[in-house]
Amino acid sequence: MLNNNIRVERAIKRVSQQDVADAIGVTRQTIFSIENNKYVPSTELALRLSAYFGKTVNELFRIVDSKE
Amino acid sequence: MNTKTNFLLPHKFQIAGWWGLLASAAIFAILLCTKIYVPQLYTPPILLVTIPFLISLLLICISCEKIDDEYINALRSRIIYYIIIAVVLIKMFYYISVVICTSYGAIGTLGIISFINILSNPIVLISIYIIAFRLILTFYKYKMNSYVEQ
Repeated sequence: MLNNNIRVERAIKRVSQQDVADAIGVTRQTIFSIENNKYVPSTELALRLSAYFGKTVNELFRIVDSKE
Repeated sequence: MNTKTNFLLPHKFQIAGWWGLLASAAIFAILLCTKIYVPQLYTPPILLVTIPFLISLLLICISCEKIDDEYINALRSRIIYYIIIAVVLIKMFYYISVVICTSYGAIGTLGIISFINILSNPIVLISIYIIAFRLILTFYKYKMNSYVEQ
């Protein structure tokens, strides 16, 4: 399972889901679904998110063992 | 810049599609109300309804949303995937039922079974696809709006 820190990074940067969506060029639904682990973004979108937050992809996303 | 999606027509074609759907419904209503002609399938006047209707459905299906991205594209693919599974199951059920009914002489039930087969008609499938896609998008929007941003 893929987990992410987007909500935390967004809180640190004090931006809304809509701000992130507008900056990256996706819908707010996409950001909402990624934050809630309902959707795994493509490499392109993951790289855009990492560029936007100034973090590496590994810092934003991490694989969590389902047994954990 | 949007993330990559499949080839789709611009959003204005979808708006044109909805207007076309409305226009075909209006033409159908006029044909029925004026009683000049009672529409029947496969006769020339009904083409005034069926052709705009089919073109409109196609335009709605193959045009993108106002903001289209990979998530909406994934949603589209998922709906098509479930529709394909449903069609296969309906067809399988239909053939098995026909064989059973004809073997046991229950010919009277064939009418009901044939009605089930209509569900796998391409026009019905396109309509189901459009309705399902719209419903899911609306549901997600509602769910997202009810979520309080932290």
